[in-house]
Amino acid sequence: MEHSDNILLKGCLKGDRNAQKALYEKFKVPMFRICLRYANDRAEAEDMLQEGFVKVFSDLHQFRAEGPLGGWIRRVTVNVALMQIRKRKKLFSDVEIENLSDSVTTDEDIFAEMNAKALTRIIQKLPTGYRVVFNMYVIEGYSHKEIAGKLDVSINTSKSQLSKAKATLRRMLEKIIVE
Amino acid sequence: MDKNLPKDPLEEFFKKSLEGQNEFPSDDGWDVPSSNVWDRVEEDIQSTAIVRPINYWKWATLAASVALLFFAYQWTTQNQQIEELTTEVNKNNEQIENVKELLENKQEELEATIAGQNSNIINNHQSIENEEVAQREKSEVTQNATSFSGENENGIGGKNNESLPNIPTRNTENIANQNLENIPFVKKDDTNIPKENIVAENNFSTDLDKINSDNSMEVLIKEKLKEDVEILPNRIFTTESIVEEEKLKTNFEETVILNFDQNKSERGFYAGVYGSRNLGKRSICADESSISQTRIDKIRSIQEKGSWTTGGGIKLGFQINKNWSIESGLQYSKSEIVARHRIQKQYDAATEVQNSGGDFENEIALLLITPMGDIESDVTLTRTAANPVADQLLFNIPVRSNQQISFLEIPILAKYSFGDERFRLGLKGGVLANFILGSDVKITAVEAPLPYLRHRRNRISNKTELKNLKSTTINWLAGIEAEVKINDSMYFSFEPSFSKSVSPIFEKNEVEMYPMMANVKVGVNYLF
Repeated sequence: MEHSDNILLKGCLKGDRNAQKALYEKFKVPMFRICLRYANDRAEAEDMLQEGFVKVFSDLHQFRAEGPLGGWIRRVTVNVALMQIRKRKKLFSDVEIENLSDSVTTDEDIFAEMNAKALTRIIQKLPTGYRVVFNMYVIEGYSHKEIAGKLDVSINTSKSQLSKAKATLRRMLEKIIVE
Repeated sequence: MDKNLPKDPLEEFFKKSLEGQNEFPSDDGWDVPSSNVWDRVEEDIQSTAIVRPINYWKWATLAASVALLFFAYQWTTQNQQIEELTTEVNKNNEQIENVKELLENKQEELEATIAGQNSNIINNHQSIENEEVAQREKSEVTQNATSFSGENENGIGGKNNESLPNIPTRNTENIANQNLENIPFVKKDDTNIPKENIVAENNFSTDLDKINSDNSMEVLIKEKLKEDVEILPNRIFTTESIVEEEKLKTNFEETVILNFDQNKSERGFYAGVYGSRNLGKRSICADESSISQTRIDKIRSIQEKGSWTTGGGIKLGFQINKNWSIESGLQYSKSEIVARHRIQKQYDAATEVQNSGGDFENEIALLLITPMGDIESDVTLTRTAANPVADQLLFNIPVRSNQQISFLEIPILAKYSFGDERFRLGLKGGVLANFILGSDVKITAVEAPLPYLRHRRNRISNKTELKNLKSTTINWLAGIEAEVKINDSMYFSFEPSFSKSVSPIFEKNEVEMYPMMANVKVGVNYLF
């Protein structure tokens, strides 16, 4: 753990408001990006971020300093995001994706022109279930088994949601290219 | 190899694009939350009063066990004291009743005796009076006859008084003395009757006259008798009471005071400190109908054995009486279960990567199936360039996993001890409140499956086995304790015991796990 993180951590554990603000300022951007990927829109992402930091400050004493503080905050934020999604809506609604095909090839040159903001917006347009599984598997690196455990679904559901998410993304990207 | 690494170009592209960003916000600020988010966070953390939560239940359990000890002490000592005092009171009441009965009998006997004696005295006195009257009459007749015959001065009733019989005098004295002496339990010193007032040979006439004139003898005797009748039972009672009181006092001292002192020395608090060696095992109950046959077969193939660990603790107890005591305390113990797995894998030559030393590394994902869940581990095997491994080769990898769970335990035990001062043996039983302090699973040994393959490193990526562990359980405990006296206050203690959880520490999908542990504690007990 970085020295500056250690100082912030000690201050936050003592309830020092300045330290808490400093911790928030340091991690708000990367955590907000995560929230944006899980949320439907900016407002929902801000709610997730708010809940995430409240949870971070309340559970900070559980942080064991075995890894980087940022990693721990990230896990807390993802868990809060998942919890909020579960509370607000049915996670896996049946979404009919017509004419989906895994055989659609991806054009990396076109992708390269797209920045993180555009990709995040594309992800946000995915149905919630697809979006969550895609984020967890591709970005966070969870296995299907872990996703199944966290979302309380079967491994096959996780796999099919990922497959459908990827197919949907390809279709969206194709559409962007065509336009 | 991390199986989650995206191979799909789409996945790889998204991951790189989104994760490759730095921590600074973008120029257009799309990834910066609005400023009111912090205000809302601040508001929330103020209202929820973020403080480190205290494990109240741990302290509550500790307080409850201390309170239990205290109340058990109060209850047992009070009951015992009440029992002892009740026994003593009953015993004393019984003795008092016996003494009363004895005194009543003696008083009755005495009254009967005194009544008889009184009757004799009165009769005797009456006969003396009659005799005196007869003598006086006879004397008068003789005197009259002498004066009539001129023999008055030298005759019987004249100057020669000494020749007159002294029967009344002797009789009176003898009878009086006899009567006084025959009164039981009366001592001469106790009487207020002056000797000369009773009867005297030298002053017969005057005393006799006095007796005759005011019946003082009879009055005195009667008064004396009355007094004796009144005093005597009191004296007997007093004497008997003193005797009985002494007996009771002695008895009381023997039975109550001495017992109290004895109990006092047997009762009291003791404390101990010990180190322990613990051998943990686990009992797993599963409904096989809810588990797949493949999984059952794999679970059955696991060979488990406990491993000895070191712990320790402190104890605080209260000796209720010679045999019984209650005990609590705090102890730390660790359960370590080593399980041997054999995992079959197929070698994927395509995933080999050549390192800087020229050797080929292959990261293999292992899945260790256990009754409580799975352990996922990534193992790196290496081979030299000269020893290629055939693609899709089937081989077994023996792996050892080590599950460790550390506990903080609060025992509440009852102990029955017997023996002498130098050596005591005790039987213990009770419950333990078990709190899990920590848990971990390690892969302790991975054996390379082939002679030309080496195991380089491994890491655990998932410890499902430890999920769903409960934070607390209740155990029963049974054991024995041998104590050897070191000095007046200290005992060496050797205590083997066995405990098993009555509630599962793990419960999911029809599988339950009950930890059990054998302990051998060695320590010192100190008697306060």
